[in-house]
Amino acid sequence: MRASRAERIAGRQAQSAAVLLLGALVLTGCGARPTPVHEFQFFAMGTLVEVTLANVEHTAAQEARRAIEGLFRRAEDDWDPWRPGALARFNRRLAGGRPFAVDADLLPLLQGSSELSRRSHGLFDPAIGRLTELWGFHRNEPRGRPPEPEAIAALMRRPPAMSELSWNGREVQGTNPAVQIDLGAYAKGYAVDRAIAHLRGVGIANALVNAGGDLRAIGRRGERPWRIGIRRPHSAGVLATLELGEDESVLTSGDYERFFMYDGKRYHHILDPRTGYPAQGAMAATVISRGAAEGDAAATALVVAGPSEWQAVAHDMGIAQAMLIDGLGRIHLTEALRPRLRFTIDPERGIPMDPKP
Amino acid sequence: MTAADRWVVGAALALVASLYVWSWGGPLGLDTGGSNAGGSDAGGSDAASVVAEVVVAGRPGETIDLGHDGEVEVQGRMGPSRLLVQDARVRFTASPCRGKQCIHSGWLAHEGDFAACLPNGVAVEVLGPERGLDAINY
Amino acid sequence: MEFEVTEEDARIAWLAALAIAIHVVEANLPSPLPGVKPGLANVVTLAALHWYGFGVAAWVSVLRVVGGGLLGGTFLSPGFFLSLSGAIASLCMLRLATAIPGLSSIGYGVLAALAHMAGQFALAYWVLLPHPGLVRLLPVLMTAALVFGFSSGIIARAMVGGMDRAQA
Repeated sequence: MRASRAERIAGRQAQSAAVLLLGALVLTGCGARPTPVHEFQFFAMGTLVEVTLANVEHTAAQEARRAIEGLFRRAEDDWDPWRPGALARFNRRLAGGRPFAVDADLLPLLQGSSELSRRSHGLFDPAIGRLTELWGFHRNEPRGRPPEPEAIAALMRRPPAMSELSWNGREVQGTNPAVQIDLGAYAKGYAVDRAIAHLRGVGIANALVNAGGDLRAIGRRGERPWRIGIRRPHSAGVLATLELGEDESVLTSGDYERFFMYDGKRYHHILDPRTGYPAQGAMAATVISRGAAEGDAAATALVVAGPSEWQAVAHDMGIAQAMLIDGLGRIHLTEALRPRLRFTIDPERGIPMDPKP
Repeated sequence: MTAADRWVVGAALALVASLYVWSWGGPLGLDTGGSNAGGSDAGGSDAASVVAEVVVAGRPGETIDLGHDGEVEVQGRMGPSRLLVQDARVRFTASPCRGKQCIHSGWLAHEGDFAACLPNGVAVEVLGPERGLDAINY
Repeated sequence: MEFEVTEEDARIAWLAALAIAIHVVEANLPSPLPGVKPGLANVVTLAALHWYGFGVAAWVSVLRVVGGGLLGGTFLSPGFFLSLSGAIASLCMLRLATAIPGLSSIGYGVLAALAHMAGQFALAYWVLLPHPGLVRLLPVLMTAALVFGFSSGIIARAMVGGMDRAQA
């Protein structure tokens, strides 16, 4: 049966609607696109380094990738005291006891960490390399058992400390052969700072460099600020999120990054320079600062300080925004940080503690 | 099929097609250069900063870091639903509902992957950089 | 007290019974996507609409949901309310659709199925689980609804046509 005139018109109308729809579909694709973002990752300095670049085109991103990876590899060799590099050479000469001139590249790290150590009341002290080695935390896979108490006691008879370095301009002299500089995460933070400086230098103004607990971001991610999650200690969950400003670092130190269990007890890598044993009293600390290196020193110092001293230490190190999670899972915040964090749990109630650590 | 039927079907097709466009943000909205250009040493996935968000009865609940294997238990309306995180993916492994559709949804791995236990009021969605976190600090 | 059973009541009863039977069978079939059922029981509703008009079709639809819920043991469960909201939405749409001239069961089937899915989704999204992720499922669900609505419309039309011819 032939379609009536009305039916034919209806049919044509349906066809034009379909054509219009197809056209609309094509056009929507030409609208605003999401921000072009380049991400790359590599392993260096004992951690996964992730870099995110926003609003950068492909060749610039590739070049940046090569530069930053190279930067971290050099840092890895030069600033790891257990690799044959500048810091290892420095430690050898330091142990020799005679004054010597320090490499120009190493100097700012040593002077910077020295100053931070002082302001941290000695709680952050890179001079305890020997102690770290004794505990086995210098390796990616720790030894798995605590050292003999006698070995620790012997070292602590004359505790190695940054203050035992005697400076004279560019020259330094070691007065305690037990001193071995291990810049630890401070070096990571420093590498992050250098990476950010490089990106700025080549005109990339929106980037995020994340080396495990050492993170610094500049600019924004397209339309919105960079958004960071702070992991919950001993868990896969995210404890809180925060949005970063135009140039900020977030540093977290925790007793879960590098540790071993022995006889049901947790032994972690953040050693208390005063006792020679892993710091007690805090699970983790998070610090917001401008530079990643200074923030890292502070985060380490706060974990050692524990709930009783942390505010004083943070203040003296010039840190206004910090969070401490003590050994009972209670969350302590500075007033400046409180409004910025969006918690996924009720911070007043703290973190529920598992029966197993 | 009458002419009016054809009209209805045509309009329905148009509506459904536009729903795809609207909810998935456009078929041509890709970023230039792509992410992870050149790959990575970490086995090709940016798992370290991928999270999944758990929603319970409309309230945002836990955020799960897919970079670390583990199990998560979520209290829903009817009882606990259990989630398993493994190899940067997450799935329901147990739920008090009858149909177990949530479990049958299988592994969630990519941004936007989603599973829900409607009777229990528990949903899990994998977030990516556009809607979630850019990095995890730990 | 005596109830008078009208001829209309009898029609509603047998159609509803048929619809419930189909619903229960369908409820026990596995479904690939949560909340998506072929909606074969809708065929009965569409047939009822064609033969006896909107009133009977509405009764059949509601009885099907309630009866199916009671028989399936899901009465007043979240799944039940999803079915109910779908049925109500689809009935409202059918009522409006009767104003469009020239529609056959196919057109009604498509409209009813889309409205049914939309009603279910609305309940799921706003009451049960407000979550943006659910939005991504909507186009997929609506596509399925369109397909099943179309096919149930065709089936209904064939069934009605066959039975009409048989009676003629």
